[in-house]
Amino acid sequence: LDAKDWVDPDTHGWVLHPQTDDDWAGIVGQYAPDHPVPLAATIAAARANGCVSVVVENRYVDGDFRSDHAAFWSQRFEFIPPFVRRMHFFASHIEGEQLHRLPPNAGYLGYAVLRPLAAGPVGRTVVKPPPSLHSATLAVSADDVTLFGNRLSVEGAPFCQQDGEYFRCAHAAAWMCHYAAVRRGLVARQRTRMFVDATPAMLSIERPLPSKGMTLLQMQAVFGSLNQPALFYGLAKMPRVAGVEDPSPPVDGTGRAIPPGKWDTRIFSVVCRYLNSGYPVLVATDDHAFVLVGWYRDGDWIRFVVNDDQRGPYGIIDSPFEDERGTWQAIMVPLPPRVLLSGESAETAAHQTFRSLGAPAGALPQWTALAAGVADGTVSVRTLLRDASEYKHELLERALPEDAVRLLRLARLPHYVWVVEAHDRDARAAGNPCVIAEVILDSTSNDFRPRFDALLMPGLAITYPPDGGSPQAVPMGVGLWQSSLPLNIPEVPRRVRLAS
Amino acid sequence: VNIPTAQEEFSRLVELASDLDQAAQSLPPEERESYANAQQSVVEARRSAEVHEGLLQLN
Repeated sequence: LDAKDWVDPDTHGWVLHPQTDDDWAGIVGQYAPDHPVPLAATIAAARANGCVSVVVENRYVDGDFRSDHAAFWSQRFEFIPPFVRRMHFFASHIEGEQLHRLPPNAGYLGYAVLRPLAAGPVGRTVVKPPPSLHSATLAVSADDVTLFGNRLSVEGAPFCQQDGEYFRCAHAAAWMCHYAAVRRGLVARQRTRMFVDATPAMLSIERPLPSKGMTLLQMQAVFGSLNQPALFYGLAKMPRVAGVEDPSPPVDGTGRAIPPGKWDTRIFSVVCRYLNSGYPVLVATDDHAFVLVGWYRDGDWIRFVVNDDQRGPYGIIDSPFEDERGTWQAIMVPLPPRVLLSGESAETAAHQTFRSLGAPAGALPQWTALAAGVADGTVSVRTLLRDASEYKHELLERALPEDAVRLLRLARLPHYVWVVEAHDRDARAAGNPCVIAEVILDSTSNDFRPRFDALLMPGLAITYPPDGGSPQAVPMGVGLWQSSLPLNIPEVPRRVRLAS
Repeated sequence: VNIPTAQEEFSRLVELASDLDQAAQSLPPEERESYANAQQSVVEARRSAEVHEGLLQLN
């Protein structure tokens, strides 16, 4: 990249209309000659959504790169511009004359910040997921953009590339989790420099700069300083969960243990609990970090959707056990600090309750059937973390009786709750209301003793007030109600999806 | 035959669901133990970070 020509003082920007593969490859070659894959994957996502116009915003001041520049790149003897370009993708034909007043149906597909760094040009990026992920459950969030006075919005999973010297893959992976939380309103935004500044130097044998990346210990420290302390799962010791198969550790031909990253199927349920809740999941191999942003079912397999700083957004992992990035060693899930209870503990507690209530002689037949169903797997259990206010807000749209809605809306709940739903598999597969029973647990309680906030069963809804209050109950019918899980149609607002 | 009214049936359900600890006692001992073991494994997993995991250098 020629620093002299990077910033043209005489123009606001320009519009490109690439038509052939060579046209698109030319854009990648111009901005990412050394490491083309992340930018190529970003552009591929835009093209999959029908991109025909690219607006290049000249001399854009990106707060993240400016922070990196001040901390590191400005120390270079050679000039590195502190400005970036920002590339915006549109599904409609845009002419330069329209830039000050874009049409309402411009078809905005997202943006990518381009840094003047040959080793890692792709900065803050949010592009719409490709249509091929239509049926995936994705941890996406909406991002608002202003381009020449036009207000635009895109929903996607944040992505950025490492720069090879200052902001490495571990920083990029942590940032992707952070920016997703920012856009969901969970934490205040921090500039990328803060990720480096917050890395405790004493936890590494390396000098801090040029950066050699971060250890997992350092990553936890960074997540803590971002107000997103991460749940840590070492694959060498995954938790057991009632109703989830415990695989037996295999050995190879010489009797040596095979690493759990090659066989432990509990990875799927742990990861999906958090993705279903909208939280990205960070995965560490021996030497690399990347972020899982979604999953989907492909026949009998679960595929993961991955944002990998070295490969771009919305990649597919066919199997974690054969991931060419390396053997998975650990999982980190940055969560709001007040979430103390793990999803695994919540799910086991709910499973036990479904079983217990159907066990006594003379139990309601529907309760007995539920207890049998969770035991033999014909009833599926799904667990997700919800903001209690959102949970209450959406109750009206879930085909629940009015008395139950009133009971739950007036219940005193913590900021976040774990929701465990028992699903009728056939009803779910048919797209019908599928929830047979539901447990709401206090996310501030402890894994030793999860605290129940509410329980919905056939014939009964009951809440358990805090501080020793008396349980409150109302009658329910025995019909099924709508799940609060996302229904995976990104183009349609959530409440519309739930009502349809 | 004494058939319970809907109100009596509902009261019985409320009584069952009001005390989940008591309800759990209706499970066979071995099943209660398996749930306790699962909960313990979650707690143990929280303590499980091995030294080599924490020191993996991700770049």
